[in-house]
Amino acid sequence: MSGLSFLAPVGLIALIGVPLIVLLYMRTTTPGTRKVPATRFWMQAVTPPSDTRRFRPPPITPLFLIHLAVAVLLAVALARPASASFLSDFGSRTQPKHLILVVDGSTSMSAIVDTVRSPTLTRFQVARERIDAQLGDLQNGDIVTVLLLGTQIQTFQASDTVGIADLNETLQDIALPGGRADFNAALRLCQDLLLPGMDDEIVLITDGATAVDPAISARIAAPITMDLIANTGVTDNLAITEISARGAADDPGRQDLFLRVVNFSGTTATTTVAISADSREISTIDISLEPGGSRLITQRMPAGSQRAQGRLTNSTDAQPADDEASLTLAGDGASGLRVTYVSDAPSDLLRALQALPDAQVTVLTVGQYLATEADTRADLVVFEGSVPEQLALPRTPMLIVNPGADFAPVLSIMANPTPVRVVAQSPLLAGVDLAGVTFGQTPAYQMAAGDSEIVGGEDGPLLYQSTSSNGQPIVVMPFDVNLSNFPQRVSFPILIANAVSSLVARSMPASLAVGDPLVVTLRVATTSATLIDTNMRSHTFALDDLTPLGLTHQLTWTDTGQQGLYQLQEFDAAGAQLATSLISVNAGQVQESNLAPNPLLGQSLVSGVDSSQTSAIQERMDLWPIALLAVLGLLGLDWLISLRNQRRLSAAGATA
Amino acid sequence: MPALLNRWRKKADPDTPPIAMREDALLSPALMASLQQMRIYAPRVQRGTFAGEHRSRRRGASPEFADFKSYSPGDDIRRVDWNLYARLDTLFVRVSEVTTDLTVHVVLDSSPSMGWRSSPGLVTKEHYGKQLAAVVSYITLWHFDRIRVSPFATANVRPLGPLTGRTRVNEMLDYLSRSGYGEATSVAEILFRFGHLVAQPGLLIILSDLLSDDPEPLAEQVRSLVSRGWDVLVVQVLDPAEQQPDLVFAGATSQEPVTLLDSESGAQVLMMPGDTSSDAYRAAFDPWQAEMRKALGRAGAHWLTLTTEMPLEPTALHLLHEIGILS
Repeated sequence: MSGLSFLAPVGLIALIGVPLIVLLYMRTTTPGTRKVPATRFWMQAVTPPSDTRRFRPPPITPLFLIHLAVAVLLAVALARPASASFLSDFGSRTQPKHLILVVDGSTSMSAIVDTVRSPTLTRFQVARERIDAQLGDLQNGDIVTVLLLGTQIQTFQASDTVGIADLNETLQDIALPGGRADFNAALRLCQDLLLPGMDDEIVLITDGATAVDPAISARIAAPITMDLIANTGVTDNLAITEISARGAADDPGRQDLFLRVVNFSGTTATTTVAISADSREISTIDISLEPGGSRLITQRMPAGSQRAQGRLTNSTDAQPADDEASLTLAGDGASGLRVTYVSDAPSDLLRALQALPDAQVTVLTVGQYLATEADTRADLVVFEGSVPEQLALPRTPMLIVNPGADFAPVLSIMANPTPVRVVAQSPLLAGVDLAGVTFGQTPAYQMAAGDSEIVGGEDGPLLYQSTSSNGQPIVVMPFDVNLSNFPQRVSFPILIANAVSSLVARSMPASLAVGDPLVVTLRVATTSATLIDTNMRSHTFALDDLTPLGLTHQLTWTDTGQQGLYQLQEFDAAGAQLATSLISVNAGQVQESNLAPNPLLGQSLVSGVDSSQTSAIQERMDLWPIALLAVLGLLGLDWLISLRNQRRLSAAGATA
Repeated sequence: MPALLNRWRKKADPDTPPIAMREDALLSPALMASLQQMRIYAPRVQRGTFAGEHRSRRRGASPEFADFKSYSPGDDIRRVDWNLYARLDTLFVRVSEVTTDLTVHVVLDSSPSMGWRSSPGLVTKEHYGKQLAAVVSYITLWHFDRIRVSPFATANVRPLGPLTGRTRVNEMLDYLSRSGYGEATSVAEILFRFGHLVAQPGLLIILSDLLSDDPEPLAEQVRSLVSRGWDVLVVQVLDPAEQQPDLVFAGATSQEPVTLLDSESGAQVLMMPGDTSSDAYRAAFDPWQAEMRKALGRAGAHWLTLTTEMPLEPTALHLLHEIGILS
């Protein structure tokens, strides 16, 4: 028998029963006794003593053969025969198996397997079929762990046949997580999931459009095999892998859109890129890309545009999801920086504020400000020329420019101070050149304890950081902007931008690639936020769910595996909605849009265990139950034959 | 009350014995009905001159009550059974038996060898012998002859009889059913004692396997009885395996020796089953049986060999008829 081996060869010692049985059968048994009416007529048939030998050749009777067969089969069963082929379908696995399935749930798995013959069958659907096949091979006693990769690793486990069946059912209905699959993290997790005393096996179900660190694989103490979902059709793919926007250098009121289109195929591809602004097509561009080539497309967006979209109009590749991308443009007041500028005489400072990216500046006079009380909806309040009394101070960061003599104790008046003390490494002065800057007549304020001078003149500070009486951060510029030549310098808006950044650390991405975490610094006034995903499911976050970040909080959302628009709503303590932001998650991404399998992936999956040896052991089936069944059958036959003989003996009048 | 009277009325039928015959393993009711048509015939037996020279159905004024019969005009009014009349409101007359001088003696071998059988599907020789004894006894009683049953080899069991009349049938069957085995003995010795105990000759039926006897000693005793007027019938009752010795070794292999245990003497012989042993048995048994038959025939006895596989009816009865014992 090919592939037959004995897992416990010492059990063959029981074959010593065979010669023992032969010896017992060779020994002349005590003659059976049969009663007869009279022995007078049998006297002539008496057996001479020479005929009753002690030993004789064993009689080849059915019982003799059955006993021999039983002895042989018992010895074989004790030796635990295992076979890889013969009768393997009727045996049981020699050792329980722990199967770890690592399933690729990245965005590339949404690609069509064969665009011609099966235009709707995706790689992930094929993966489900592979999962079903793997789970169907499991037997009672086996354990399965499934790691579904995507934006995060989902873990499933089952340890009995019912649980495995339920798990299979769950996985057949589960949606593609999307995003990028971190196989390295998954393999590290596999190493922790290995179970002692079981035959561990790791199977990767993937389309191969990924990479694995060989060093991580080498540390895995279990064989790793790859179940590659091969693309039966073409893996050609055109994708928009990058989309971004920036304020036009020559036209501050407008945005420039940047799109990168990449050809992930082996042939030259031509396509038409359609660009839309607020769902209105504004441009179409025909491009031709060589194999592996890319093209960066730039488009000036109309003023006031809030959303930009790029689309490959005539693409019929295997991955349509990355044929379009969108972006939220700066200037969307719902997502921009909200600044309240309070001044009875606006100066060049207002212009600098208005030049800030995403800034929405509201100008109020002092009286208007006092009439509406503190604006809790602004991210930043700028006071120029005067500062309200403490009770009217807003609960937001403030930029205070030329506040006047009542702001703080004045030690003296500097006629025309020059910077003599500079904290060059301060973030406020990044990119700021103070050479030749004149400040004009400037009061020398006495700084309070805790204040930090950034730039100082001869007698007092020219720029310093402070804290308001209500605990809000303040940047103070004591000088009068109108008396200074600073606004005519390029450094002035840079200084203002730096000051605003240091006061309001807000970030809101305009777009993301699938799988990239969404990290948002919320407004200072935000006390709760709601994120609505592409499936219109709402996820609410209270302050306890958010990460504190200075005066505000940061929200991190990692489940961005689905392409589409995510909506973020921010609410203040009173429940009033402060803002609604739209974040685009685009499918195009260099790693996931390249649908061709990584040719080096197989080499990267060599584990620290020789898979051929281990898989050979796993495939072997224990055959001792078959041997024991045969023994039971033979013993039954033995009983029947003995019963028949006993009946014959009793009928003939024999005694026991 | 009427039902009870009806039962009595049915029993009063003169052709039906007054006491219902119970079913017995020895004789079935159907066989009993057949036996009623037969008669024992003993040609050598001298008949006396008692009143009523024919047997069985004659009734007379003997003090020995035989049976009841319906009253007919002319019957002796003194023989009316008034007790029966009071119960049944019908006149019945007591009929006395007319004794004859035919007595049938059944000598039944009850030694241990008779208790052997080669197959569970067969009866033992002893049971078969009892059945034959019951057949003979039933016919004898039915026809108002006299029967005496003597199982030998059982010293502690008294013989039965002599019995006469149909009313004694149950008693006879009960006796035969309950008799057991005894020690081994020879028929010749039994006949020797028998001849001295019973003076009046009659029909002697010997039921035995004769395995403990030799031809000449037995023939001598038989000759003695025949010379005194006895009519002797020797029925050798055998098991089929005693004529076909291969049946003794059913289930044994020819390579395994077998110890044969004598059921009477306890003697043991060791032998190898097979054709050789069977041939040796036949070489001893067949001549012995042939010599036994010849010797007893020369002594004047009737001979019959029956095996337990032969049914009583019709085979055994036919053979009894063949030799002239039954008519």
